[in-house]
Amino acid sequence: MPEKGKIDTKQAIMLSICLILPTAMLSVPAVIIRHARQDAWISLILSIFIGLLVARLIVSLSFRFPDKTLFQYSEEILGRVPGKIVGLLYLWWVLHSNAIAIDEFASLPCVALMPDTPFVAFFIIAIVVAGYAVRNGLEVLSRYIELITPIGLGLMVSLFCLLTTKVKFERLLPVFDKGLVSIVKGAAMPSGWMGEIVLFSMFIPYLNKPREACRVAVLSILIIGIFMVSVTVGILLVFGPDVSSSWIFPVFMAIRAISIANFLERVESVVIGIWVFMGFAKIGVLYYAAVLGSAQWLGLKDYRPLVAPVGIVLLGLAFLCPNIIDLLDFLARAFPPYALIVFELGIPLILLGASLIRGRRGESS
Amino acid sequence: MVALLILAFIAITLFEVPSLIKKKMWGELAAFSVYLLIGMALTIPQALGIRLPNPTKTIEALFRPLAELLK
Amino acid sequence: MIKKTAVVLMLAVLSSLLGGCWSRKEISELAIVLGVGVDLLPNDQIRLSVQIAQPGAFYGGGGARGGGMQTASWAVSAEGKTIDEAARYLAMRVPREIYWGHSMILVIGEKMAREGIGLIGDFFNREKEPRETMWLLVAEGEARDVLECGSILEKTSAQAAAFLTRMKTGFAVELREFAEMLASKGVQPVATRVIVKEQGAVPCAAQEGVATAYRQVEVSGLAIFKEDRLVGWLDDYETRGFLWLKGETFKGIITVPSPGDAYKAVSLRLRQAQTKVVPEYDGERIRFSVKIRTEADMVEQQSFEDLAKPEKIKALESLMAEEIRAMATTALEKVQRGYGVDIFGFGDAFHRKYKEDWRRLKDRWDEEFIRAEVSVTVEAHIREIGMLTRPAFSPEE
Repeated sequence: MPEKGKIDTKQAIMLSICLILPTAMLSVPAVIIRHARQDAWISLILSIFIGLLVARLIVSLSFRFPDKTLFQYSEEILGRVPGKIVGLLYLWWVLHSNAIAIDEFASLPCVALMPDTPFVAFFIIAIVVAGYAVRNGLEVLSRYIELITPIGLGLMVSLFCLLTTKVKFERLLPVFDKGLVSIVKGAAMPSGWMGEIVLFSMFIPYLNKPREACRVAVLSILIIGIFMVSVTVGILLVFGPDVSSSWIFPVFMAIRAISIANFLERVESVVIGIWVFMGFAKIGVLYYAAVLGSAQWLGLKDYRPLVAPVGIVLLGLAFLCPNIIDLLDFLARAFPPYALIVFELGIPLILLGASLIRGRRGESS
Repeated sequence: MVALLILAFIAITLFEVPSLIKKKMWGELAAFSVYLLIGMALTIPQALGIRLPNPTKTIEALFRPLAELLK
Repeated sequence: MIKKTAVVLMLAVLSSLLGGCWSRKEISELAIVLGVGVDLLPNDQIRLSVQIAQPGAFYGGGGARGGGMQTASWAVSAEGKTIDEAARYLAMRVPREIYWGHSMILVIGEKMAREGIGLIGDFFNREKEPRETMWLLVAEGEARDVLECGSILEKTSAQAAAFLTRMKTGFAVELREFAEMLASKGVQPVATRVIVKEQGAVPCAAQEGVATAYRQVEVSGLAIFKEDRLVGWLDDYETRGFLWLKGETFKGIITVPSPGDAYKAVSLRLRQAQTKVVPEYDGERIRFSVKIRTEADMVEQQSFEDLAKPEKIKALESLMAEEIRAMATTALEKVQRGYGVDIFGFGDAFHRKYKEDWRRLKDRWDEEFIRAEVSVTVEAHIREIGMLTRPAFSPEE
């Protein structure tokens, strides 16, 4: 087995949070608000249920094949060739999602802070730092995440508390203004994000208490969900749906509006800090999944030699994105059906169905 | 830019390959080389200013009917 | 050995990238903008005026060092088709990099405002430096005058205007709030009015015994917009009526005739206020009942009558309610009959209660607003009466 490290339950929860939250936090609320307006929080609650569904799926799969990750049991369930194809699809998806995460990671500092700095500089920094953590193994990566997640989330929550002076509750009214269809549309993008919990199946074999996998997955989805709901409601309470839906980075803009007693203001650099640290975490987790997945897909003994060349591939993929408009448009429209139908619900459902049928046959024989 | 990239490739190769050969990890070496080749194929043309086909566009085309719903 | 070479090579690659510190900005190379003004010129060019801080004047004593006044700011303008283009021309006149992040006010000239703020709003929201928390002001006249005049108490006129707005004696509008009002169909935007005129006097400034008046800013009244175009103004009294209807608590005094002696006055200072707008719709007529609840302290009386009695306070309360109702009705009359735009957010209140009907009415809301009946009821309470019971200087009874 390429990975010998073990992580505890707390680390696993934070790992799953970092698998989803860092990039969801920044630009997803604007898209939800664009569809569902002041009912964005209902959309988010819907997406939590999708996330719980996916979490439930992968946990039951993992319980059937303990000590095996997604790449290993898909081969065992479907047979050698179809299993390899599924593995290849997931490899592509992880690499591509990571390239997108790197693009997003670079766009905020590039737009809001350092417009003269080329994107490549941010790409390289992100890949080198995340790659270093990945090369040192799962335990190092999890410890980094364990250190950074509570600080990041705590700071974010306290920053939002500073906005209370600008809150107007009428901005959330009327409820169900645009109807159910818009709310469901608004739920698509956050569901696509929540479904990324499917990659938690890469880490279940390395839990020191594998029986707690279900608890971990459910808890992390709930924490992410509650966090996203509070952030989105916070943005809505301060800016209303019209203004906030036209922004690319609504969380950043909301924090910019903080001004307490005319001196506690201009704190948005904290958001950039959180974004950079949490961004490293997300890129690192996806990077790790890609590297470990490739090693398992090929049946290698060690994944570490693959870290550097995968980094180059990620750089190339991240660089493919031509501009931020294409990126946002892809994320808002094509990504949710693509990720949800194929990777987050479709393949896991097929795998579970196949394993149930084969399992029954196995029992009878 | 290209020179820097090639320098980076050489550095990565020097960093990983000797120990792989020493430990006779041929599978790892093969995977390493394949990834490095893909990486080169993706980065060097872009550094030279050649636009590569974007796979994102293919995905968008495949999921267009559903994506239209999310307008 | 090979590994060491590889590490050195990697370091070389990385450090060659770190060589460029692209977005470096030294504070001494920045021209810090305190206020921005935008005017429309007769030839359809946009004139961008900025007031740039002169940092030297901000240390320690500042103002009157060594007898002479050190100028704290420099106002400069440039013209262009768009704001960004004008800013480029500005960059040819300002020897430092212009930094917008500390701009406290955005002043729109009257002509520009009548043409439409939509033409210029994008720059201040899309660019990363200008903040959406800066105050939006509309100048009666030219915006440049606001930035080119001085201030005696504050270092610069931009600061004076910003601090005056921030005190919320009238209605203060942040750029983001203006954007929100502009985006909603249920409310039309308003912005604070700023005027430049000679006021106060600086004793002994020029000559012994002669007080010199300086042109300074005054922030009072409101600019009313229909969509992004300025359509008219509200004066100070009407602005207070607007604040009552909008439900914004403000610092202010209400003066009512003294009970029992209509020629003498009593002043009341506001403590707090709440406004509730309840829309009613029967499919044809739209009615709004506005319920205002307020608390005030009695702070000054001119008559010698002893008002510190429960029944007198009751009388005072009803006079106060009457006065507030009059203020609100005056503002409502002027806006509803005169300008015909819903600046009070009645449409939003209607939207919150009748969301289905709103979909039908929202595109012609201003017509509906003109036809709507509005009834104002005021409930006023008096809490404190200051340090006295009997009036000061009153003769023995």
